[in-house]
Amino acid sequence: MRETSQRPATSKAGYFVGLGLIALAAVIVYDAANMQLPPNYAAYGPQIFPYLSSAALVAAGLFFLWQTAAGRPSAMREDTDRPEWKGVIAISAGLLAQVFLIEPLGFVISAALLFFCVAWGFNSRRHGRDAIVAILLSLATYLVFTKLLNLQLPPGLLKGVI
Amino acid sequence: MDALDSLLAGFVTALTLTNLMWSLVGVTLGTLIGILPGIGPALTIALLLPVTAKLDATGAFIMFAGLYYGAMYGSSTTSILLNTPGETGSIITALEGNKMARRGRGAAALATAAIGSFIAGTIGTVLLTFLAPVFVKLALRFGPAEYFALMVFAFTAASALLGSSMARGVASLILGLVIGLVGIDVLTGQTRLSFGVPALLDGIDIVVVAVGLFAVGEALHIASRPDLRDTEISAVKGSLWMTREDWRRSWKPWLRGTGLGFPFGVLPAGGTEIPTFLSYFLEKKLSKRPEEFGQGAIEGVAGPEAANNAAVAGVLVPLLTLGLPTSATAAILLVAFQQYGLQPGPLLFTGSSSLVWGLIASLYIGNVMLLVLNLPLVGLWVRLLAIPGPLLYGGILVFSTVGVYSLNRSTVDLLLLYLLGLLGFVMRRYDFPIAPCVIGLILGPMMEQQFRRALQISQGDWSVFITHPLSLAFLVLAVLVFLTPFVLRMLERRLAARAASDVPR
Repeated sequence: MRETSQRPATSKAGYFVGLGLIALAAVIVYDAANMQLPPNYAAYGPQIFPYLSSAALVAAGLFFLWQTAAGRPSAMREDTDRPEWKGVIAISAGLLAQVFLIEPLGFVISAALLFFCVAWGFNSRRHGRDAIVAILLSLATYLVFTKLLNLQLPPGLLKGVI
Repeated sequence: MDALDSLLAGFVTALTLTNLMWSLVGVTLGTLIGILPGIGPALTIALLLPVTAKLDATGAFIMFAGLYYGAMYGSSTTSILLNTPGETGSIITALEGNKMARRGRGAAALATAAIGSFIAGTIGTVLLTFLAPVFVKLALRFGPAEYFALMVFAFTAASALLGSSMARGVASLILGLVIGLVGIDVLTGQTRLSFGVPALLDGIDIVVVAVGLFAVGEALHIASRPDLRDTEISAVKGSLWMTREDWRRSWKPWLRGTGLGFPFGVLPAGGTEIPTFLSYFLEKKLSKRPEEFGQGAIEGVAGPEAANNAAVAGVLVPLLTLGLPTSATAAILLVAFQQYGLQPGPLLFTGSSSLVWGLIASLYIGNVMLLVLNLPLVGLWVRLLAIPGPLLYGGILVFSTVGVYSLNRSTVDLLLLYLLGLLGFVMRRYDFPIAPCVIGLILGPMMEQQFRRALQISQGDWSVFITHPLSLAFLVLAVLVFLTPFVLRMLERRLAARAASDVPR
């Protein structure tokens, strides 16, 4: 089941992944070391699992660093040589719009923006259709959730209108 | 018979009009999300949790179980017609099934998948019925040390067997465990990894993690990959009635697939993926026409499809009797039980026996419903595949943010959702499996609790884990599972070396 890639290991991504795991382990150790605990908890206190987890993360991180340095082709193969960043950026923008605009502008507007951004990120060229579906879907979702399911979503600018 | 009586009582619960309706809702929804790419059973159940909080528990679980079964049926349709598996358990189905569809035998592939799923699902449910009481008896003898050791075994199995390499599995599992550490420690009140952020004190909600890793991560990943984004649908061609030849070639793979799938689901070995691979290779080896494999061999659809449905039934055994999730969906189901204040395990069978047995009985009914939904009505479902990708993913993300926001009405949760989505994207991009992360997130805190409880009872003496025989047995098994890949690789190398030294002479 293990795949062996024919491509030579050109990717340096293994270094980032390995260092990332080790950095995370450092954060966990720092957090655990700064806990203020009565001494009798030491044997079975809240620090054991953080320490064990960071040890495992360091081991995995070192393994990836070693595999990448040794040029093992299976160390960190990239799915495609170059991802299309446009899609990632568009979806990120949509989700961040939802985070920061859902309360000031209201759910209907922020969700419609999110929908439109995602469709755009998926390379849709029919912007008119996407915009209409975006507005109808977020309006319908808002009405179903607030009127039928009694879950509250922020009305924002449209307060009193819907 | 003990189990039969309980099962009959279960049918009384499951056959009420309301519960039949929940079962129908579950299997229909399951088929729907199984067919749609980008949305799976773990994600859907996570999103439904806030909505179902007010429902009656029995009805909710009957719906969730139907959904889990239904997703397995539905995903085979997508694998066959679209060549993108709806769920990980259907990767192998796509291999032969899509070839069959391209050769105009799509309908026969759909039929053997649906009937195989029905047979495997039903046999799996029968095995579940009779095995569950046995497991319950065993589980009653477990103390904290045994539970901890069992979870260590489950952890090792999940990280060793899921995904492309052990290091990736371990890293993914530990990431989940670390996310589970965030918040206030229950036993001491100590805050961990919260960095003074008040919203993190209660921990990160499991729904946020599951939806972020699955829905957002998947959307980001697919959008960044033009080769995955634009797919082509095969039309359903041919008769849905399998020929005599098709039946003759299908029935043995169905049974063998069931035999492989169920035990793998029961063992904490990580769900549905592996038995489908094993079933495929077994059928290829046993076939009189191995050359047909890769060109659309019906055995290559029948076996793996039976295996993944039997595995789903198997997964429910440790989940219900031990409270031990072995797949991402089972992990989310465990959270659903906790939401209702229920703890799966031996006590669930005595304390909430009408719920458990109603749930098991509903699986028999759900399987029949699914056969009807997926064979004669497959033409209707196929139209769902015509939904354009941009609109589909737009809808999935809108619903994901609604589900996450309505948990606590907090925009911090939405921000966490995005960050976890980025994590899911990076993990997919570098081939890290997602399931161990979700299992680690949910098993981690339980495991820590059992570990510390065991040490508290033994007053800090670590030897409890190896002096209890059952606990020791699980730990030994865990070591064996951990070492297996290394031993296999060594053997492989030795065999290759011998072959190389033989050739030149």
